[in-house]
Amino acid sequence: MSMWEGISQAFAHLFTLEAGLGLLIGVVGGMIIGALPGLSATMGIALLIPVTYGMDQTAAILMMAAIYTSAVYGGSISAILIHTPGTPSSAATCLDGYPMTQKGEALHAIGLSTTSSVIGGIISAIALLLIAPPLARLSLNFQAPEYFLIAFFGLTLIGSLASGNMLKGLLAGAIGLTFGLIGLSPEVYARFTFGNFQLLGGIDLIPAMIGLFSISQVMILGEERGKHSSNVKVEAEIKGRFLPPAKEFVGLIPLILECSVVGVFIGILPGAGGDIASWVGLNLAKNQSKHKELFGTGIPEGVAAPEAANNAVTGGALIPLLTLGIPGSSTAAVMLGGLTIHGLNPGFELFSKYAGVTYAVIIGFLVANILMGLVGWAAGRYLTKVSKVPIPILLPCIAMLSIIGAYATKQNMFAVYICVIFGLLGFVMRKFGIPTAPVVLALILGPMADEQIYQGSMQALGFKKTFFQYVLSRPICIVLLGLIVLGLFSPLISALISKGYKKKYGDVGEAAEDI
Amino acid sequence: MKKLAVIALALVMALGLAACGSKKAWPDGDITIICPFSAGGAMDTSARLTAEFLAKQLGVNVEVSNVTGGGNWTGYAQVINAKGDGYTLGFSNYPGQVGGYLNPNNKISYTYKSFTNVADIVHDPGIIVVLLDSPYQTLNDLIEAGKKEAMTISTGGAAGSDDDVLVRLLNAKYGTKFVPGGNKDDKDAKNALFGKAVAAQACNVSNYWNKWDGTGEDYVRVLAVFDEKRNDLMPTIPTAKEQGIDLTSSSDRGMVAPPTLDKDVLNKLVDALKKVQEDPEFQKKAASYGMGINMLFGEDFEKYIQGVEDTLNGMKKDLGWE
Repeated sequence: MSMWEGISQAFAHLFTLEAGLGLLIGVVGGMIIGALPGLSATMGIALLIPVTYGMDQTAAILMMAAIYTSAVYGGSISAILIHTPGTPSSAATCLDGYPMTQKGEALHAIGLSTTSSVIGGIISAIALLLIAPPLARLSLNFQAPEYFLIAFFGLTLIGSLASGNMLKGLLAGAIGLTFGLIGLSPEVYARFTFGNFQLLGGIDLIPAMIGLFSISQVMILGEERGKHSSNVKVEAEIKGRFLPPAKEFVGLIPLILECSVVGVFIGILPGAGGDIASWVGLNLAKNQSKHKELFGTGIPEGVAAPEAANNAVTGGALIPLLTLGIPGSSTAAVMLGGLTIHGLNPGFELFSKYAGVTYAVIIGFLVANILMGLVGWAAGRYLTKVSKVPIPILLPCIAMLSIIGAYATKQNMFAVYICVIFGLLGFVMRKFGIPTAPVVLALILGPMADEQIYQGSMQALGFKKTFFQYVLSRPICIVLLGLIVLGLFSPLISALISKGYKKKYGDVGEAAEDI
Repeated sequence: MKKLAVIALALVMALGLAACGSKKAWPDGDITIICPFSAGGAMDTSARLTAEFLAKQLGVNVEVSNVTGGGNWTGYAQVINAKGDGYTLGFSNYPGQVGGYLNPNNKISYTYKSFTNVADIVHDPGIIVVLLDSPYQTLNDLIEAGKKEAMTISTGGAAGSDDDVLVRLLNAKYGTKFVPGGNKDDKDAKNALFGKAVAAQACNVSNYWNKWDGTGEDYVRVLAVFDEKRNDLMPTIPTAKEQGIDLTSSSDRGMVAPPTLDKDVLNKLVDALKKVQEDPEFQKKAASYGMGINMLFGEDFEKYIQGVEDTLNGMKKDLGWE
């Protein structure tokens, strides 16, 4: 089926009341989730999946995609207004966003963030529309050896995710790989189940993720409240013009576009998500600037660059998700679960049999980014109220939602135990400064590599080759091997970037840990 | 007239006494079917379809609860340990359930005898398919080629799944050198076939039946249906037996209940399911999902499961389960 046929079918799926409502609820709900310092896009979607059970396919997936982009944008509002990134993707935005608020330019900063987020999001949606269909057509060329190498490639990126301390990143990765071993192996051998059949299916990803990100966040925030006794007090007047002046905007366009393209690329990489993109974006802005010394004092570039980059990640992360079933970020990993629940299997079928639904989601995602801009323009300034929900009210609510969400994914108490155990694990890890994101990445990619190397070996037998010969006989594998070699050097580069930044600007407040 | 009134009065009293003496007759409230597989899959669809029409027969709500995890044993264990009052039932698949407890690595102490086996409901025969441009026109072409050299056949499940067992049975009986692909699920197995990483795919009628109702893509050739007779959903495809290969294989889905299930409840349930089977609306809807309905009850059902157990036991060494 051609792309145009798919797009024309898409409108029938898109123009339904349910899809429209899903879109609107996704955009508004996502913004609120993003602005709340305790909730990230990942948690929002993980908690929402059980709610979408009864929904129509298009509406459900569209709502998740809308929440994703809108939450990443919403996070910037609390970053700008109260110096607390609403989601980890907005940590970089604090550096210049908050000083702008202090200077009395809060609305200007929110306007800049809105404009750049919308542009970043739209560019990523267009990239999704243009790259995903041809890649899906190639998806049949992706077989076990290719999937194995992609998983392996993702694992080599773990070091670079640890922003700063490679050793701690690798430690986190090793923890994730170990947990990933639990359960039935591809040869149907029970590993580390200790005779407990509950563990035969392995560690369930969604409860583990809710625990690692959400429960640990509740504990960290609760502990901090004891120390500081109150939130950052800002009663900055939110006034001024929302849309950036034309001259300033024109000057920023090249930077926004560049950051958007970079964001899309980072989104495509398995595992690397919005937080990395926002730091890379800020770095790009700084390197090109003629007045580097002004960064951190509240200049427009410091808001526009990270916000364009982190929203551009969203569409980028959906590209490998929809075509190959490989999540480009941890949020996309949760969405993978959502797709499967709705009977949509990533790959070739999404662009042939289910083309109507898929294109409806892609086009709806584009619309969601525009709608996000409009809602942000109309209501962004009021979202500050959301970000000031008192911690004693917020924390119990998040904890409760997390436990319900964990139970709902599997309808059994064991999932709740997994969630709580991983919550404690996440808390301890964060106390020691060990990032939790690599745990999730390894938990996804480890079993995938395990499964695919087994299948690949079985296929190799049919070609009368060893697995290694089989890999070398496939052109895409050769390209992937090249990327892996590159990936092994990326920690060095990325360590340099984040080291420079953390040193220069110090810590930027606690956000929910995320990729 | 007077006589009639007396009879009526006696009847009312008798009914009243009966109600006093025992609890209200089953069913008198919502029934939950525990499905150990996630929402949206073939098992879930079968369970929900059965629930819908069972509710129509019994006049109460029948809900499906997806209790997943633990290689499906979390859900199975919940069924086994539930009260036998008939308000908790379960859905199970074969040979999956049997393979689960026969594999000693899993350390599962239950067997099919731990359940009350109510009814086998869906019968989905095994098939072997190749791509249209494959050189193999018949099952015998494939088997002859397989005798000469190793060939990988993708399977929608690991060792012990029905697809995997079918491939191993061919090897054991006809001396072929097929390698079961060990794929994660049917989608994975299909991807391997379409990407030409394997020579053929072992799967079930429900995976490719829609080629016949005009909605499917015409990319594959079904070489054989591994069943006693031709399948209504793909009537033009010969059985393996017609081609001289004496093998059958299928994936079946049935209803199970706690071992303590009340005898009266079981009888009522079986009666209701028999009516469901005859409901033309049910038949129509099941066919639209590619589900072959072939209900077996009581001893017949257990005889079938025992057959599955015997087959798997005979292959323990081959499966690495010793």
